[in-house]
Amino acid sequence: MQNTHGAIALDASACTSCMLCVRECPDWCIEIDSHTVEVTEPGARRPRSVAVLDRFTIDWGLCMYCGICVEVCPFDALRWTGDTDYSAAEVDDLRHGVERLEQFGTTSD
Amino acid sequence: MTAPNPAPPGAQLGDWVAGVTELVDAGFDYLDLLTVVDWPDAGEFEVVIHLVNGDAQGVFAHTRIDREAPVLDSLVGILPAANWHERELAEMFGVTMTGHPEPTRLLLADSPVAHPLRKDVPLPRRQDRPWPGAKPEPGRRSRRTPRPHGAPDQPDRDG
Repeated sequence: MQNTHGAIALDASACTSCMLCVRECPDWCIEIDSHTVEVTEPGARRPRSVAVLDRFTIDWGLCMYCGICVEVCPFDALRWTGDTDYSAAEVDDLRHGVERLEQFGTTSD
Repeated sequence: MTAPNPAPPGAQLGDWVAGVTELVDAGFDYLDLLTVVDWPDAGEFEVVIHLVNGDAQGVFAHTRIDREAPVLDSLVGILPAANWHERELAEMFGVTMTGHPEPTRLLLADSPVAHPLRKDVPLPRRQDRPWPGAKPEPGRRSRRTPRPHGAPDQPDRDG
């Protein structure tokens, strides 16, 4: 269907944990935990700090689907999908982590 | 600092009920939207109405009322559909609706709480939960602590 959208999917490999979506979200529905590791590349003089995403959650019970996170992501790690079938019996089950968020948009019914 | 107040579309009504009655008589008799915009710096509430006619053409109108003692004449006499809208505005912004046939709470629990849609009322939910954006991004030592948008400098639970 045109002019409709469903869940927001995450591409964790594109996410740099930059926190922009977390800070711009008016509903505070996104949370990120991350840490950095030092990576030494061959030929590099100094090791490079690389962010590792530990946790990325969207709480669909809070999300109002404004799409600001999708707009603001500099690395296109967030995108709209057509998925709408992710209701839950418990409020806590509406908080989706990386695994659930990466599955959105991968199945076509 | 005074934020500029952009002029909303539609006519500024001096006499609220008379002005809306004129629009209703002109065929705009379907109530689409009735809401309030809070302008704390100006000390005013702006009441905004959107009416639609039979040809699906819409018209906006608005009026300004004092924020400290907000009183507005009820439209229920000419637009029965305004009943719930006005009850909602009464509890959300604390506007007294003069002449409303049923001036009771519509959505909020019947306990003394601040009017939650006023801009100076912080959400209690935001007081007991830390802002997820306060964490620094990895590998960066923040020069300043980021703050959430729209957060008052001195949070006050009771508004």
